[in-house]
Amino acid sequence: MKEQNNDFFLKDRLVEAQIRKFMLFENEDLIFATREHLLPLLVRLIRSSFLSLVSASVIAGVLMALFGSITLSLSFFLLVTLIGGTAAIRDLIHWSFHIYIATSKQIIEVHYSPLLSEAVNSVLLDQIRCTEIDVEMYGFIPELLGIGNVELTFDRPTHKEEFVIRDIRSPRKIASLLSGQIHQSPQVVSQPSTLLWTRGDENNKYKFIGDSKYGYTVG
Amino acid sequence: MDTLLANVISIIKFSLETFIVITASIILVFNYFQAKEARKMERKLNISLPGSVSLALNVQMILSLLFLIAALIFLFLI
Repeated sequence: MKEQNNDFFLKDRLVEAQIRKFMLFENEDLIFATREHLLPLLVRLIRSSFLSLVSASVIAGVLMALFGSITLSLSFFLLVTLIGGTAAIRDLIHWSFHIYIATSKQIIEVHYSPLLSEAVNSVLLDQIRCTEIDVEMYGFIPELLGIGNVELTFDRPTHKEEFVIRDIRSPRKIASLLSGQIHQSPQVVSQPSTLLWTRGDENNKYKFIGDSKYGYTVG
Repeated sequence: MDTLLANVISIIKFSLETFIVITASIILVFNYFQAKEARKMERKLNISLPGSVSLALNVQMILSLLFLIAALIFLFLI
């Protein structure tokens, strides 16, 4: 059953009720669920609006000069503006469905662009070993507003060895939450190999003391 | 010569008007499917679109429909 979201305005943080569908395990707690910060979205929307208005004006001006028809010029102006509006809506929908979710058991990235692409990437925290958690904040305004990326590097080829959470609010806080959770959860560690041979006392020769569980029995 | 030039301009103008109507139809169809896919994804992921995005989606569809109707009327009928 779809959770009712009464939010009218754009919000980058989500609550547990909104992402419950992604919590698959027992005793799984939400650490954070966030979208990209609003600022990069606004910059993209303003840029695409400006471009579409400029293109529409230029095309309308050229057509007016060539044909002298107000109807034709105005139609082209409105057409190009409509195309720009469609692109902006697509960007908004993509932003709404691009979510990073971290729970006590997994980290998930949901990525959807209507009619173009769809992806859900999930990393199980107890199946990986996280070697690095990096925070990046480039630029004056991102530094001022606290917008940046969190990069998680794993020690094995999972999710292309890196999980990047891009353009989110308070990346330092997110990184410390993730660090706390990852170091807390039981991670994959190298199992001590079953000792098959041991150095004997006389002449440093090795003595066979048992068999491994793979085809043999442990001594 | 003047007649030929007038005819060429007339043909080009008619082509552009047809292009406008066809493009407007494509935009309308695209907006419809975009809205439909967004609703489908809402149900699938159990995440609702913010109200402002839903409103913008519906307004965009209505505007593209109105534009198509207006283009047909003003370019071909009037």
